[in-house]
Amino acid sequence: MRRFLPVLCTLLLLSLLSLTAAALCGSTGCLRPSASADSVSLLLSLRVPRALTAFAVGAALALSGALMQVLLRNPLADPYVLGLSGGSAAGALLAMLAALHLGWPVQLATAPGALLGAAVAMLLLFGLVRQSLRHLAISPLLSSQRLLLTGVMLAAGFGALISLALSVAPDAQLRGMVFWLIGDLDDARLLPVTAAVLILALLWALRYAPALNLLARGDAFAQLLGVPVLWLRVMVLCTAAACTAMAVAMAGTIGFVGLVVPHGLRLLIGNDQRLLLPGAMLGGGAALTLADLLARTVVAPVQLPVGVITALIGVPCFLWLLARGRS
Amino acid sequence: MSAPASFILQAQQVSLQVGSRILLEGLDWQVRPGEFWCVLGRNGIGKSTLLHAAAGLQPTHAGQWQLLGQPLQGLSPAEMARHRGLLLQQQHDAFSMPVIEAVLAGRFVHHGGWQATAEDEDLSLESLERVGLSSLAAADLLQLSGGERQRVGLATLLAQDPDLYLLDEPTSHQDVAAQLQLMTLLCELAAGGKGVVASCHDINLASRFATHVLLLAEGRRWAGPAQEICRPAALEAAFGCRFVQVETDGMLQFLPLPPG
Repeated sequence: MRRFLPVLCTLLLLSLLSLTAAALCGSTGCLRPSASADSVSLLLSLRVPRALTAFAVGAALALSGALMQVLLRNPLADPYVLGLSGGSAAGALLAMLAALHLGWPVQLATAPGALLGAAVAMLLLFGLVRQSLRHLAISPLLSSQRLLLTGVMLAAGFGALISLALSVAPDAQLRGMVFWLIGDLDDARLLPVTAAVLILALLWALRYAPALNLLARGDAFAQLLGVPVLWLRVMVLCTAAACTAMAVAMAGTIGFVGLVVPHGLRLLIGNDQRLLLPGAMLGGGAALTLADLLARTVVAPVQLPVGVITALIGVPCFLWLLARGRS
Repeated sequence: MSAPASFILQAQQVSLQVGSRILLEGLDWQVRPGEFWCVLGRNGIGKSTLLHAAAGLQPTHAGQWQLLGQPLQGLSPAEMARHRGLLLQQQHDAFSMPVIEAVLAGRFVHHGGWQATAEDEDLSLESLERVGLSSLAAADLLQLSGGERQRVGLATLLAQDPDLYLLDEPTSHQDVAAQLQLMTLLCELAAGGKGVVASCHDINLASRFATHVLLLAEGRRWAGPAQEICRPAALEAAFGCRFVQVETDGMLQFLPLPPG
């Protein structure tokens, strides 16, 4: 316990600093004390929701990634590996097309479409791996491989649907759809729901972190030591899926945060889920908030897609951590 | 589990099968407190499957298991973990962690909560000491040798402190000195009132240390006190090769010879 506090306090401080910076600075420059009260409140009303959105999306993706890495016992797993993001994205794009066709506002269709897509992806996944979820694999690789392969295949299928949706989309909508796919933090309408899901997911994760520590070492191993593995695996999958679905519905498929943040933190602070899961939430939130800040300010007034920044910064950071760990 | 049980583990007409292959049929078998059973037999005869089924990891095709007088099927994972432990043949660890934390995992069912108590940590250290690894408590699990990792697994099982110890080839990665230490430790556990069942490939170790032997063969099996079962005739029938009996320092040794 005592050794957890400094790490969590550092991450909390980092989160608060990144949120403050993101609220104060933006594509039109940083707020100055001399600015008029009207422009201050106007800018804050634009930037605060955006900063919070970035934080919530980053936190949800990183938590989901950390859970997936435990579930699949694979450090390369991320929130998207099981096809959830593909399902959400395909759902969102198809909903956009349908809205265009019916003359409804596109903005309103995206989030429900994404959630529906995630739900379909989840049901398909559960339906296909039902058998292996019900049995305990003695061989530690077998069950997760089945899940992983099924997920990857679903993701490929949804990828094809996404390409199809993009290819039949009218030219005027294409740019908006591609930007949504890369990741876009403009829309804060789902923020309260996401926050609620995140808090529930965090409480769940903290409650079951000791059991997850055992699950990370093998299904049979955990079951032998008293963990109800079959139930826990389904719960991990549901929790991770809810977080991913909310993140994708809010901001599109922002890559890399869900893979790099939990893995990087694991290299820095170890693999104790009691520390890693809350740590990944704070770290992921801070990382995406800072990435979005950079995306808005580096070539201001032009705004870059935040997904580009997460990958451009995430890749070298991750490689550095990996090289440092080996020496 | 308060009723005094004369058997720690009881198999009633148990049949086991892997895929469509039937490994065991109609097994009636009991393990009492203080007994140390070695399960002997050729590769693929069902030693591991038997241990996994007895631990509740694998479904039993027919018949039923009783753990301390209670049907195994009706027990929750936590109830099972309090009363039986199994050392798996192999433990694949993908993430690194200090050895002592790996051993603390054995205490999970006892503290059940978020944090291990000081008592749990003392017990874990003590378990590491009993398997001769206390100097490696702070080392990284992934940097240990195969034999050391197997003994970490054994220390985890000791920390779990069940009534029934199931061990799947616990001597497989151990050097000869460590094999003797390990068998002595298992004898001590049985002498302390636990039930111990270990699968094993070394007939001589089994006949020297185990109180009882379960010898599995194709369509046949022998169960009983070690001295009665470990006889050339039964071994020859089970393993399909000849055995000569040699006596050194008052100990019986079995030398396998090619058939013919």
